[in-house]
Amino acid sequence: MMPNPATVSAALRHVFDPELGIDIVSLGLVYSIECGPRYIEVAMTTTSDSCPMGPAILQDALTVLRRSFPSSEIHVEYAELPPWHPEMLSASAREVLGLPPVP
Amino acid sequence: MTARVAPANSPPLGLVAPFLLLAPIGLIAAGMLIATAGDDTFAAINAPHTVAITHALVLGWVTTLMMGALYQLGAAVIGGRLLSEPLARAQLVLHVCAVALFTWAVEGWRTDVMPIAGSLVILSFALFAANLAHALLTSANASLPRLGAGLGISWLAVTGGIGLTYALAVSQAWFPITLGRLAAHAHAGLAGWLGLTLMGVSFQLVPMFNVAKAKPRHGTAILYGTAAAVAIFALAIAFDPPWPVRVALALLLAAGPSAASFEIVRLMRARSKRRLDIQGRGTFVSVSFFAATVVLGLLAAIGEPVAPGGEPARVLLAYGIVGIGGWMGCAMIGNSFKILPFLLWYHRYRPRVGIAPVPVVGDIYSETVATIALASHAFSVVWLAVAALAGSMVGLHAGGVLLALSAAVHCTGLAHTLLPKTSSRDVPSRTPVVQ
Repeated sequence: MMPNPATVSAALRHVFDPELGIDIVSLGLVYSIECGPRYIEVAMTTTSDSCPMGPAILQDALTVLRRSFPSSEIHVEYAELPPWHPEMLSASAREVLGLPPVP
Repeated sequence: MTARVAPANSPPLGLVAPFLLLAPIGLIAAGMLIATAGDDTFAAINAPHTVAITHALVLGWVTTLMMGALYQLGAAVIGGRLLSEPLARAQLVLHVCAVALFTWAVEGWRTDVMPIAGSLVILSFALFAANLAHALLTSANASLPRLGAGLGISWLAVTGGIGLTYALAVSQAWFPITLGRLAAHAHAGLAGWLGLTLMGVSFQLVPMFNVAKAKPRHGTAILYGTAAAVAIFALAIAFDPPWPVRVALALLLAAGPSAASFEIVRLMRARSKRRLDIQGRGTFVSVSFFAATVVLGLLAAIGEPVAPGGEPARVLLAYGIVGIGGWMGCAMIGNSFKILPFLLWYHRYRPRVGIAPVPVVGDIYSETVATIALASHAFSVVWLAVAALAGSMVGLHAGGVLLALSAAVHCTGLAHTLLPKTSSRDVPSRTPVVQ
């Protein structure tokens, strides 16, 4: 399967924050996806810089992308800036967390 | 771009889970001891049966839970490496045997056995402290959990040292264990070992589990201030000062944990995860019990240590029940339903991410059972405190049975997490990713 931002994003929706039970795309943790015919570069963050599961979630994203796009060279980079903020949550994620929808 | 993917650090499930699963048995034992308490329970706080109940609660239940939690958090949250995992497993066996022997010896006031059993408890503390200290020293992060745990195990050593000295003093008739000296030992354990550790860990776990962007403002000052207050309190109360001094000492001791409670509430109010889970509920209930602990502690400080009517002993009893069972216990129960499921997720389910749908932490434990465990425990604590204040022996006995039953629910809830679980996530996670 040829990687493009849509297929990569779809694959990353299989990676969940184990505590919140929400996928990392809906959480707004994926900042950018760059793709070429043979490469994928993802910049993502975590909900907290002290989250002990942060490295595991990044590793899981890498694992999922390698399995979904075995012929591509894949890099997953941790982006410290901008820090994650609840405003980055998708509407569905806000609903799961019990936050009111953004007007 | 280069992937910054560091391996996460987590101890084996087989190391941490036995601590968490065995700890409620200590609470069941304490409940049974309360259910068989005699008439001397309300007359004096230092009656052998009451001292046995206290040690079953503190050493058998809360300390065993705390040790298991710290073996997990020392690696996963603080980021260090334990000295030896086999040593931690051996320490659990030693700890359970030593605490059981010590509680039995105290209950029967077997003064020849108490120093031996106390020495075994101290050995358990030493092995635990060595293992955890290695994790703290090998961590590169200067975090509040690391500071809290470091101060906490320092006070564990002091508490154990005082306790063993008292056991020898009773055995060898060196000096009398006055109520002031007993209070010094008890508060070194409750506020020093357990309180400092709980506060330090909560400063990170509460915002992390509840997705709060706020951070503790005065965490370091609170931890150091509390450690100093515990030292002043223990040194001064050991001399059995008059009630105005006791009240001043009680206020000093309560200042740090009170400030920590305000910080915790502020962090909870700033959370993005608005729906409270078991950890959030446990945190709020624990903070509420802390407020009750302060009130009862001040009342106990005002009263004469042992009045002819036995009234202050009842207040002291209620104070101990609410402080240990409510403040510490509810926080530990709430966190236990996060610590064990996280460990299970990491070791059992995470390797399947991307291959098949995997359960998340919320799928691994039963929210209903966890809530029943917390609610029944909190109810038992309130019941026992009221029974103690009212001087109702029947109420105390019934409360002991309730406490043991709540512990059985807690243990069942934790054991239930070990059963295989499936994912409750919706599509697309139910579809395997591999093309």
